[in-house]
Amino acid sequence: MSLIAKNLSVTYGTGSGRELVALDDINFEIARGEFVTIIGPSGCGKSTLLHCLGGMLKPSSGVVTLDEEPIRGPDARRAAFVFQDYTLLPWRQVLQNAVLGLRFDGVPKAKANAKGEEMLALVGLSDFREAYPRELSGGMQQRVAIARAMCMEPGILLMDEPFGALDEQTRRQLGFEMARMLSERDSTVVMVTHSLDEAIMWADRILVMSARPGRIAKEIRVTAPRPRTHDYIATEEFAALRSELFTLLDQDNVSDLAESVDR
Amino acid sequence: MSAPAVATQSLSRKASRNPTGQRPPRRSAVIALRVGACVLFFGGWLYLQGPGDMSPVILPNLEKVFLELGRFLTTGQVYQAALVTLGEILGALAIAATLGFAVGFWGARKNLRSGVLEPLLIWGYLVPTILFYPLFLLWLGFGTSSKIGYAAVSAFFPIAYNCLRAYQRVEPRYIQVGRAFGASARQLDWQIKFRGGLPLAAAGLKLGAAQAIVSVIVAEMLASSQGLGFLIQLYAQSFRIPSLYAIIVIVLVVVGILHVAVKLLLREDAPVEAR
Amino acid sequence: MTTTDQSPARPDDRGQPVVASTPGIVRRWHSLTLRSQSRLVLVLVLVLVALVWEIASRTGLLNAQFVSRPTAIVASIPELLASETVRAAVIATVAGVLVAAVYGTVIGIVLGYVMGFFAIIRAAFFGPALFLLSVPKSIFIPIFLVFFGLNRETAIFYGAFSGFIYVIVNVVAGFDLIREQDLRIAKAFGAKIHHRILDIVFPATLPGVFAGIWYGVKGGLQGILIFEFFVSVGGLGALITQYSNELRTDRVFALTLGMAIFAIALGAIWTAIERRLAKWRPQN
Repeated sequence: MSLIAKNLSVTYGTGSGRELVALDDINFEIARGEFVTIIGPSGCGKSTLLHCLGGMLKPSSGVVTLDEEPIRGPDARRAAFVFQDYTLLPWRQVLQNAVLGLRFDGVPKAKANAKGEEMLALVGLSDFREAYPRELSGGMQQRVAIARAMCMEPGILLMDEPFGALDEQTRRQLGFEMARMLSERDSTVVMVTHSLDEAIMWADRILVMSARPGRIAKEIRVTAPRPRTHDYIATEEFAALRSELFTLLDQDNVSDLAESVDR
Repeated sequence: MSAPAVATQSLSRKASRNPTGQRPPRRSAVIALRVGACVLFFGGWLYLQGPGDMSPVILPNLEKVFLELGRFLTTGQVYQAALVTLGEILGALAIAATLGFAVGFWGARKNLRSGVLEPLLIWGYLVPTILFYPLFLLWLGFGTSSKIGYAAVSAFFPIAYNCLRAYQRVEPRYIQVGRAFGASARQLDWQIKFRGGLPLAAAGLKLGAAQAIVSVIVAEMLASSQGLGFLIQLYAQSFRIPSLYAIIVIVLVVVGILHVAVKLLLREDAPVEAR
Repeated sequence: MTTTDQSPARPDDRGQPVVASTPGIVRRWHSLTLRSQSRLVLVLVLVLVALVWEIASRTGLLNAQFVSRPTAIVASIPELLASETVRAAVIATVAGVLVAAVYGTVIGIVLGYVMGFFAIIRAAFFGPALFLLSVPKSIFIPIFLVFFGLNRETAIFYGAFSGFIYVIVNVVAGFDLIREQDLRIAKAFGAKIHHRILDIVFPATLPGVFAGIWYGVKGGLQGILIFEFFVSVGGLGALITQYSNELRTDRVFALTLGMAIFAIALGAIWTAIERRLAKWRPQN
């Protein structure tokens, strides 16, 4: 089983008749159980790419297939999203948010709730099943969003800067916990990030993108076995990867400083 | 207790988002719909007065209404009435704005004061002020002063309430900056608190102006001998139906002009969130 | 942070009481929350106003015929309650308001949702609706009269009319509360159209609908009262006019204040219900 992106391109027509090439001829393959991170400068189209992978956005050309079946639209059973802003429905309690996708899919209430409980336990929020989102911190809300995606038992998990809105401390802690959990469950994950540390820390493979047009500039394999511990940060391998990424992204930024647009 | 969300006068007219995922509508389609509605309205009118055989006592001849409209615009009577009404509105608004700002600014300076004032002002919001108009007639008589007094009270509540809220919650950041840069208490009051609360206070003034316009015209309709409201009442009472419809059209236009004027006068220089 | 800035330090802070004669009251005052302090002062203010009113009226400072006095107003309540005419008028008005509010809110909610769901209808007619919101609805009373005649049904129609436009505007405003990200979540997790309506649109627009209903009720009340003041179709408006012409100021006050309290109570109840239903909403 694998996810394949073949000749993926996305162009936007701007009002003035010019065309903006967001993604240009993207090709890659992701194997089952692999954890892939995508990193790149602002505006390189990494979120656009993720949206294409999950069927939220129709590519202008090219195709995404999961297990040889093309992805034509959003289907959380196949590819489930975790967004940066963790968007829980404020009028639903935590458990009801976690089972949202199951209920949309027509799964009976009792069965959905059982699954929801299981996933909430996994992210450590069993005690909060009846809380409303406003009562939770940002980190806890993002845990619920992850549980919501996990409930679908998706073929692949698509995370769009999932910890980007959190403070450094929470971000690191939640990151480690979630990465461990996903590794243990052998989940296939694609995660967009703009943090060098995050990109290296959990990945089997890093896709480095360049901006305008968005292309995959380089693929980097991280060979250390997962899940990794904090000690990994102190290794030479980590330092070398970090400096390589830094140089790559720096070059990109320089060449595109003139018109860096929002992601 | 808090007042139910204040009716939003400053809503955007654009349908920016919609849950059915449609594209933003095309301008030509919008215009077509509006023209269609107008055609339906006037066509229906013409049908009813012709083949529909509706009594002209209910639905006057469209042509006669337009003739009356022309007569109104070329004679002095309506202009005079509009002047009276405008004077009453301005008088009421001046009183309401002065008192409203004073009460709001004074009240917001101490927590206890605003704690006492807030429910009082909300009550003013909740109660239909028209209840008290007979008392104003009793106290101030049949003339213009009862209109001004009644409209001033109606306009006072939205102005004072919004001023109170405006100055209760001036961005603490601004105050911090003022303190950090050594603003005196007076400077803090005028240059930071007063300025910072201005957008919300202006929003209150807008609501107050709308309230004053509505109140003066209602008050004139109920008891008076001059003004636009009086003319409506006069033509209704004397069954001069074409004149009645024509004067209603004129009031609509006048109110429209007043609202545009208020909008222009109180437009926000800086794009600050009002709520 | 609130109690200390009202007066200097507490008695025991520096060893010497600030108000030597009443330390107990001072201490008790300081132990109250700002909320209770405010309520206490509010009651005091109201009592004071009543007292000044009573004295001014009794000493002739104010003409008692025009301003009456609190004791007289209270004294007039039993006779008003006993009067069949008054009871009939109150019932007629209140019932009329309720019926008008039902008409107004139902029509307004339906039209509001139509406008919210169909962008083109909103683009074409929301502007005119906002304009209609800003004009005095009372100018249309004569048209209602020529169409529907001089009777209480017309008052109800007019009450519904003067409320429904507020309902529409508030319901449409509710649509602006729908968050883009919630729609994205719905899409990502495969919501069908009925899920989107039931799970996203309805809950998100509910606050707008609630505000709308309140304005429908208030508009109905205001409209029916204006109508009753404008032409004699009975009800409270007619009664207040009559008493005011007879210079029965005590009765005028009793009825207007009673109605005012009714409106305030209605508003308070409504706010409480709304708060209970929307406990998921972030405070403030």
